This record gives sequence, C-alpha cells and structure tokens, in this order.
Amino acid sequence: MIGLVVDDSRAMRRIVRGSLERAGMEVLEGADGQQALDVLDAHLAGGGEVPAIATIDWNMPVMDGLALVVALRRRRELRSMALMMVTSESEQAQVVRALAAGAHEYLFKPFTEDALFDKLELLGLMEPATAGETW
Amino acid sequence: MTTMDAAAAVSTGDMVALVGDLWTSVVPFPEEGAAPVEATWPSPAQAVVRGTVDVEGAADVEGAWSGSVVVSCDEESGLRWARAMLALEEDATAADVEDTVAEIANVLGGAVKAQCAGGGRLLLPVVDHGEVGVGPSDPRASLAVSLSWPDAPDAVFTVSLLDA
Repeated sequence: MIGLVVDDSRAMRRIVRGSLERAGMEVLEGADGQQALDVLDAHLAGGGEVPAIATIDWNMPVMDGLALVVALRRRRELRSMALMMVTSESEQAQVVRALAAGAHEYLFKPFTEDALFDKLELLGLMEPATAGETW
Repeated sequence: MTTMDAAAAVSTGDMVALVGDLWTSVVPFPEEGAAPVEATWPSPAQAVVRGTVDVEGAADVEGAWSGSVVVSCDEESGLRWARAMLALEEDATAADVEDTVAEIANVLGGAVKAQCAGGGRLLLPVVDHGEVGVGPSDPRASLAVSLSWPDAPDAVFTVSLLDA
C-alpha cells in the first residue's frame, strides 16, 4: 500500500512518513502540491500503484493543498485514493471548503499518531488491531 | 479592518494549553520532560526573557486578530526540539532546527487563528537567526509561554504573540 505525504515542512513530512510506515505503507513525498503531482505522475508512469491515501497540508508554496485536492479529484484514475487534509488550518469554513472540494477526512495539527491511525481505520486503510500494537 | 489585540484573541490559559498540546502530540519522546513552565500576560514588561535567542520562527495571522506567532529558542533548545520532534537518533542539524521551528510556528499560528472568532488567514512561516527583531523581548510581545527541560533549565523555548 502506498501513501503520499504532501507538506512543505520537512519536519512534518518526516513525522507523517514515520506513522504511515508504521501502518505498513510505502511512502512518496511532495513538498508542495505541484511537486506532489510530479512525484505521483512519475510513480504511475513507472508502473506504480495508485496510492491508497494522500495526506495534504493546506498552506504550501507553489500549489496549496486545496488546489491539489481539486487537481487530484479531476483525475478519474485516482478516484480510489483517499485524500486527507493534515493541516493547522482548523477554521470551520476552511474544513467545509476542503471537504466540498473532495477531501475525505481532516486532521488538525498538532495531532497524535493514534489520531492519525484512527483516521486510517475510518478510511479502511488500517486494521484496528494494528493501531493497538503500535506506539 | 479593525482587529482585536492578542489579549482579546487568546487567553493565557488557552495559549499554555496550545503549547502543551503541541508538546504532547507532536514530540514522540515525552519522557524528555519539557512542560510549559511560565506564562505572562498581558504586560510586555512581564514577558519572559531568559537565555539567548538563536533561532526564531514566525507565522503571521491576518484577520480577526492580526499579528505574529513567534517561536524563539536558543541553540540548545532548538536542537532538543528538533531531535525529539523528528525522532532523530543522531544530532540534529541547523536545517532540522529551522524546519522544526518553522513547523511549530505554523501549527501554533493555525491554532491561534482558530481561537479567533471571525477567522482569518495564516501565512507561510519564516525563520530567522541571530539578531532578529521579534521575540519575547520585543516591546510588542503581549504573551509569552516558555518551556525548558528539567536537565537543561537554561535551554528555553518561548512562544510569543505580537500584535501587528
């Protein structure tokens, strides 16, 4: 199972990557929306499977998270990919915008690994027992 | 646009809680033992000024409250935060410290913005070194929350709110 982590913070990419790897995923990374699209296209062009999930920060340079959600939702071949905003943008109106644009889940920073695992369970990407074995 | 000041935007208790939440949720090694130890409000004269400031990160908020959420730390504290937050087995680098301080400013900026009724906009964080012009010693600082480690009380990490 593949996870795509999109965040302009190297620190946060490292944290989310670690959690997804502990959840049994291989991880791709992008430092902004456009870089994520480039990494994803290269991965798919190489015969890679569609990621099961993309975790997406909101505030990023070049292409922000909302624009990335819109861009990903336009691509039919990526319909199986769950999109989860992982962001410090916790304003209710913004949450609604992201969900309306096609995000499936929302996780506010700061978050615990258990909270991230709960979201993965909710999305059917992780067995509950697995979450209990970690951390 | 008329905006509230930091005192109206975020209470001392909320700010201490936000910093505490950050520590307990993002840093994977709570046994290292940092915890919010001091908070001052609202007089700038009471702002906590301890140790030196070597690295500073700031995330600007525009909206119901406009200002900067500033994260200030000395080298030792920055290295400790980076090592803990990034789960590094090796020593943290200067780039690790920059990333960590920027992300902490970003997370706290978002949290502070969320506290402000009426919303607003969170800008991308910036990081500076050395003689920077903001921080708990800045006369505009209206709230400072500091953390230090039990085994290194001089390694201080401070979060300040500065009205625009």
